[in-house]
Amino acid sequence: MNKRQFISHFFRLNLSSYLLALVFIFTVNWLQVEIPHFIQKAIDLIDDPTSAGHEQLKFYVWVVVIMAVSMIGIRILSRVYALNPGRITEAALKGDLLHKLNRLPNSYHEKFASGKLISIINNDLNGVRLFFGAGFLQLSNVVFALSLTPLWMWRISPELTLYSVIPIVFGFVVFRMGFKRMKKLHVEHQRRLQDLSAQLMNFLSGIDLIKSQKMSPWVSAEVEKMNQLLLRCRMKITRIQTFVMPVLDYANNLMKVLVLGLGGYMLLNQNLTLGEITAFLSYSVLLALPLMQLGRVATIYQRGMVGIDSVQTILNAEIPEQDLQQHADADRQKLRRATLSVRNLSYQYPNDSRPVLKDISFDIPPGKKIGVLGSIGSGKTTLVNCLNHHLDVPAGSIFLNETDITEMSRSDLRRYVKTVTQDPYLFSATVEENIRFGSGDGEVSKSQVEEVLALSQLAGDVSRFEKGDQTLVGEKGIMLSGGQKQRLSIARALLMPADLIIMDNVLSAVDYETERKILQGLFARLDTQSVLVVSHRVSALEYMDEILVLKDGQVIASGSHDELLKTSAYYRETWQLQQYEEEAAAC
Amino acid sequence: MLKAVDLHYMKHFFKFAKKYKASAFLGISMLPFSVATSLLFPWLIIQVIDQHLAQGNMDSLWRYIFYLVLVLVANYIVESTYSYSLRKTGQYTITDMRAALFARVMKLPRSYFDNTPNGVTLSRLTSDLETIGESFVQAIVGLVKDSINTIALLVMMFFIDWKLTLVVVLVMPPVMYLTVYIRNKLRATFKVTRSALARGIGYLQELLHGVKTVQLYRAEDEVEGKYKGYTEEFLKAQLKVNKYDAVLFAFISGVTSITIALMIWYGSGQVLQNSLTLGVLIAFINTLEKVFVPIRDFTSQIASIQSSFAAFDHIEELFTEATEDEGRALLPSQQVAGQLTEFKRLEFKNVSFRYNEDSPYVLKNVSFVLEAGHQVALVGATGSGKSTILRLISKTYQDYEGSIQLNGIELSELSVDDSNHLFSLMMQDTFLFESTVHFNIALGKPEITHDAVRQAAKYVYADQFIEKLPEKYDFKLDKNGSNLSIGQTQLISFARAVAQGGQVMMLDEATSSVDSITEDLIQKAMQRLFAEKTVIAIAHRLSTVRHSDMILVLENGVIVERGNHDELVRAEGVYAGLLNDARALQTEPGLITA
Repeated sequence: MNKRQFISHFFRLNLSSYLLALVFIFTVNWLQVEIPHFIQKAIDLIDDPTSAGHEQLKFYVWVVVIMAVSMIGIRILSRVYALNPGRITEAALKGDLLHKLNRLPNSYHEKFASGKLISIINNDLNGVRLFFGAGFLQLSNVVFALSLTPLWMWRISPELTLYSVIPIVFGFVVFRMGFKRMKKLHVEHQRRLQDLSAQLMNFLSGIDLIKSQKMSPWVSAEVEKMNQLLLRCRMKITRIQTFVMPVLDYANNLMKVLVLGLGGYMLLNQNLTLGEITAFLSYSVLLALPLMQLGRVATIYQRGMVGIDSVQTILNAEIPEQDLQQHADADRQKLRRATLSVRNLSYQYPNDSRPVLKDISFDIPPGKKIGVLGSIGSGKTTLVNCLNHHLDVPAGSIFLNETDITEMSRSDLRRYVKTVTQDPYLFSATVEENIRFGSGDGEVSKSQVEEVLALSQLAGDVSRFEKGDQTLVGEKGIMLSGGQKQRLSIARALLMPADLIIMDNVLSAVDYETERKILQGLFARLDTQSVLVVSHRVSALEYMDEILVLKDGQVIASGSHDELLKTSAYYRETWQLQQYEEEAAAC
Repeated sequence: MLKAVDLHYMKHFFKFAKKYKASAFLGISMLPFSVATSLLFPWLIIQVIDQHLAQGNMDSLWRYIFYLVLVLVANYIVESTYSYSLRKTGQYTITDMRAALFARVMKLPRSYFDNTPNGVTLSRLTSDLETIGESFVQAIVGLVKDSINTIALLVMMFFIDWKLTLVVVLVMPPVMYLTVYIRNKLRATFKVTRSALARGIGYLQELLHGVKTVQLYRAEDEVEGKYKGYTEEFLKAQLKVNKYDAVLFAFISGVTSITIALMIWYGSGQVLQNSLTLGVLIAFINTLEKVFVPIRDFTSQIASIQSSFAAFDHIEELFTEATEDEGRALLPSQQVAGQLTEFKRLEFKNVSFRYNEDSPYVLKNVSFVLEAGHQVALVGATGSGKSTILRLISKTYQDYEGSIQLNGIELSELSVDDSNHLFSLMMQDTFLFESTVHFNIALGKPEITHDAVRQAAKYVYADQFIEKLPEKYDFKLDKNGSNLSIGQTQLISFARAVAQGGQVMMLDEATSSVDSITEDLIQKAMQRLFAEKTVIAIAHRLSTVRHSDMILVLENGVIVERGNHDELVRAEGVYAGLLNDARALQTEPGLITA
């Protein structure tokens, strides 16, 4: 969607509201210029001593009162109908943005700090909201006021109207110069605010480290740099706002002086009445407000455009085509108990010249237990992130029953493949809510939750919490120990059925006994489900049907535990290292 | 227009503004001139209409016109200077406040971060301060000037014709009443919008941080539904705000016309009785907008100010949030500095701890001593309280029961900064900055040279993989090290702990994700460390444990066994049982616990 389509889309969304608002705004502006007209008639009758004249004056006074009262009512409606679409658009966009971000692949998120994305939704969206609400209202007001008012002035005196336009033209020239400068500065200001937010977010996430290593002076200095840049930019804006923008207001006052001088001259020549000068002065005030608003409209327009650009960087990011197609139920059935095959998979990170995975091939048929053992940096986690399509794998490398996973949506793939990641991410919610995460609402019974809690060996810990499974887990689950977090994330993965469960080094922070219980429980539940366990611990892999030994991104050996002891020197070495330690401990 | 209660919210704002009082003073000193020029303009207009136009008198009209232009120019200079100086004060003040708040945030205890999503803290430091610097300052600056000018104008009109002025003044009470009424409504609604917004932002931030988890668990629709709930709550409250706002604005803009009608109706009788000149009546009508336009602006200014009260409220909360050292009787730094240059002894005496009053104790009556040059290993199942002991020493959590003495000084009486330099901590959750490998090891400290960084990396055998990175030590890490493996990030943070060079090494699950071969190398490095330094470690490997002077076996927060390796093996208790388990299963022989 380009910018114009974006704007027209949201205008159409609230079309009836905008149309009603337009009618009301027009009526208000019409009443606004009519009222001085009747005031003028009344004034010209003030020193009329006849009773007929006085009656006529009273009539005009009543007309003015009635018009003013209706103007109040209609103005309320005009504002409500014009401003609400801004808020409605804002709410809709918030939903759209999250919807988009939730579906954009990892390659997109890698590029943006989440603080920056939040700043877009927090700050830039305000600009968009004002554009669709206050911007529309004020622009319509300005357009009607600036077209009706001069027309009514013209009807009194074309000559005086022309003269009084001179200061406005002058005011406009100055205003334009300020406008251009402001436009640039607003972009800069938004950017600086986003940078500051991203930086603060980064530091807040690392607060424990910053504190324990006494980094506060350095961190404060870094924040202060950004802070000062923001201030400097803000001051430039303030200077224009205080010295340049009010010039328009003064131009309007100058116009008043002109009306008094020239109008006075014309009055003395009997070309104008005192009532007409009064009306003219009232009109000059009616010109003042929209002219000042023009400044505000311009600001809103600028902020709106900046905001729309920012928002569109997210909305226009492309979700890979295959991710947009969801499988029909029939296709889904076909893929039940599918075999996941990896064929000559190689992977290298963007901006990195070294391949992390090289020519890897293996199959995971239904019910198979497969293990991956590898040293640090050998590509274990990368392999996992390829299997669940978190990373953009090359086409023709991974297949689910002969369907290339790059040709199916990630969402569908993850129906079959469930991953327990190495660094579990928990939400600030209760233990139960964290377990139910991803299960939709209400489909899962309480007993199922309790079952997975028991399976992941977390039930005991949870029962010791005073509030049990209703205990709140802090941001990122900080109140739990590393092992508890891992077990909670295992429970979460086990709650909903999946054909393949991948566990990426998730048993590293749980003790041996717990690890054994979890694996036994898991294996007992496996029927046609398969499981892939990544670990550097032989203990976790020994019972696997097949173990792949990964080194420098390549599978250097594979087979069962017993086979590998015979065939792989590397595997044997790893095993012996542990064996040696154990013997050393025994003596 | 502002209640006294509102003012205490701004205490900190004024405190920080003091530094810029020269600029503020310049701005405020412009006010009398602003009033003078603002009054002269309508006064001259009244003169022109009453003395010249109504009388048909051309004499000296042009001179008056010239005066009018002069007054306008003076008014421009005075009022621009006024706004600029005050807004400058505001901008500089919030910039200082941001720095001070951030410095304060860095001193808040762990419990604050446990209970407050980072998104909320972020919006305090950004959008709330922006609201104060923008909406609040701008509105106050306008409000003060406009109200003084309006009152002065009314006084002047009163002197010219008090009866006609009375008509204007009579309209004020209902206008004021309605303004105050709606103002209160708005205030209540703003509270709702602010809190809905903050919760929405907090949730959104969590979602974006955990977007991988959301995607892997196909929870997109689920979380969007929940987020929509926050958005709609916010929307509903905002639509209410729009309604109140519209009523206020429309009412006041219509009142001007009604007042003019009243003045004409009343004035026409007076003019006929010759107790009022036509010139003054018309001049008054033309001056009326000078009275009512500011009143209309008041409402939007007040709306801005009100919405900023919530921001002030949040800022004040952050300023009053107790820091780690607040409310503690701390010993002065100078007094203890001498005693804390060198680590001598750390003693736990009957220490019990729970994270908050609702939760169970995670440590119960723990006592042990760590002497300089000695090593203590903590052994036990997950959740047995090992990490908590380290968190207490590093003062991540503070409210312990019992006594912890560092070189004979009670730990709770020391400020965090006084004790932390003695320790190098490596925590479970590795945090890495989006910066180079070098930075992440040296942490921006100039005294840690490139060589020192290399040495530290070598010490933990991290140099091997670092040398293989494209830019080696200048390799830039992504968000939290996502372009390295978890094991590699752990190695870096391990090197960091060594480079930072505290006298006591605190290691928490330092090697849990490292494969056996690398693990073996680290073990050797650790043995070196163990020989030279004082160490307290959460231990996984037998080699670590075997060389410790003291092994503490924890179970559910209680030390169930203590002693060195040989003693514990002989005791045939829990520790020996753990060893036997490992041996019998022959799977992870070196690992007794994790």
